[in-house]
Amino acid sequence: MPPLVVYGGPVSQPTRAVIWACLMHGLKHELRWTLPAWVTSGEWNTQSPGFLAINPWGTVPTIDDEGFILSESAAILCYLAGKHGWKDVYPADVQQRARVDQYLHWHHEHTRKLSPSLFFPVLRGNPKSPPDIETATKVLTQLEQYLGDKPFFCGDALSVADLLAYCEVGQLQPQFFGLWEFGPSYPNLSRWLAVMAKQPGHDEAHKGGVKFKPKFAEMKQKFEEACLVQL
Amino acid sequence: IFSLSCPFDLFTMVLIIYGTPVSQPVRAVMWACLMHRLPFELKLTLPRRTEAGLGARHPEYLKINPWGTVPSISDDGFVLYEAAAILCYLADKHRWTGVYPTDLLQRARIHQYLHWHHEHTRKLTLNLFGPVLMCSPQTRATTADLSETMAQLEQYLGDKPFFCGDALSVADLLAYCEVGQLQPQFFGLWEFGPSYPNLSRWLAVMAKQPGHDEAHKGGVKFKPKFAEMKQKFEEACLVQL
Repeated sequence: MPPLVVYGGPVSQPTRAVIWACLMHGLKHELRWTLPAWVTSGEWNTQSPGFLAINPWGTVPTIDDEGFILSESAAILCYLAGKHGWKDVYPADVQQRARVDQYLHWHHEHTRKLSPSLFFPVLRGNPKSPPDIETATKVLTQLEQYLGDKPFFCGDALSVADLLAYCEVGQLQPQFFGLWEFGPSYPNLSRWLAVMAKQPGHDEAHKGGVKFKPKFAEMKQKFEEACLVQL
Repeated sequence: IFSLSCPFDLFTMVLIIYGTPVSQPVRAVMWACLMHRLPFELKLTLPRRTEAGLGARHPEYLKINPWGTVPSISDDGFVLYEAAAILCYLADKHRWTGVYPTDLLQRARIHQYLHWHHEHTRKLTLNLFGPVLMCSPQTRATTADLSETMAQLEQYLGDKPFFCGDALSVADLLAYCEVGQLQPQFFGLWEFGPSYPNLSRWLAVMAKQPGHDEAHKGGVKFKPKFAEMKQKFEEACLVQL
C-alpha cells in the first residue's frame, strides 16, 4: 500500500498539524514539498500547473490517499482520524466531537489570523505591510479565554483542535520564530504550550520549522530595519 | 411559527436556536431542522445588540457564546456554536444520513467544503450583504473581488448536482444561505444569469427542496426594509466617490 502523500511544507502551519497527527499515530506518509507561490517560484509551488491539477485552490496541505484527494487541514485531520480509528484525537461521542468541530470552525476567523498578522509579514518583508499587533493581541486574548482552565481546547483530552491551534500559536514562541512573548499575561496558553510540547511527535513535526529558524531570524532582522526606516 | 406551545416542563427539551432569520448561518440550521421536521424554538437574538433577552452582546447571551455570534444552540442543556458544527452535530444525533452520510470519503468531501466555506463563500455576506446592512461603503468589496468568489463557487460546484456530489448535503444548505440570498427574489445583490450556469441550475434545484420556503420566510419579511437600506447605501456610495 503506497504511503499517504501530503503536499505542503514544514513552514506551513496547517501542514504541520497534519504531519504531527500522522507522526503521533505512527502513520507512514510522504511529504512532497509544495510551497505557496509567493514564497517560492521554484518548480513545486502551489500555483504550478502540476499542483493546480491536483488541487485547483492551490492550497496546502492537500493529501492524496491512494487516489483520494482532499484539501483543508481540518477535513484532512478528521478524515485520517476516521479512517485509522484515532478516536483519542477525534472522539466518537457525538457531543465531544461537536466541541471539537466547534473549535475547528472557529479557528478560521480567529486563530488562523495569527499567521497573516505576525508570520507572513516577515516572510513578505514589505514594510508597507507591517505586523498587525492589534489583531494578534485580540486573537491571543480570545484564545486565552477559549482555553480557560481546561487542560486542552475541547476538554480533558488532546484533540485535533489542539494540533491545529498549536501550529499557529506555538510557532510564535522564542524557541521557534520568536514573534510573541507569552509570559504572565497568558497563564492558560503558557501552561498549554508546555504540555503540547511534550506530546508524542511534537519535536519531529517541528524539525523543519526549527531548521528554518536561522533564516527566519535574518528575515526578521531585515524586516524590522526596513520598518524603522519607514517610520 | 417556529415555537411549540407546551405548558409542561417538556418545553425545555425542545432544541433552542439562538439567532435571527436574517442571519445566513442561522437560516441553514433552521432549514436543516425544518427539512427533517425537528421541532425547535427560535430565540430571537440579534448580533451587535446589547438589550436583555435580545442582544447577542448582552452578558446573558455571552455566557452561552462568549463571542456574541449566531447561531448558537442549546440542546437539552448542551450548548454549541458555529453553524457547521451545529449542522453536523444535529445530523449525527438524529441520524440525518441523507445530508451528512457516514461514508468516510463522502463525509470528508463535505468537511472539505464546510471548511473552505469560511474564507470563500462567507465573503459574500461579509463583503456584499453586511456593508449594506451596516451602511458602510468602505467595507464593500469590489465587483472584481466578488466576481472572483462567485467564479470559485461556480468552479467548485462544476457540473455536479450538488456541491459534494450527487446528493444534497449540509454543505449545500450553508452555501445556499450565502448565495441564494443575493437573488432578486430575496435581497437583489447579484445577477446570476448566463455567466453562472452551474450556480443558476443549483439555485433552482435548492429552492425546491423541502423546508426552503419556510426557512426563508423571515428573510422575505425583511426584504422591504433591506430595499430601503440598499437605497441609502447606494446614495452613501455615490457621496463617497
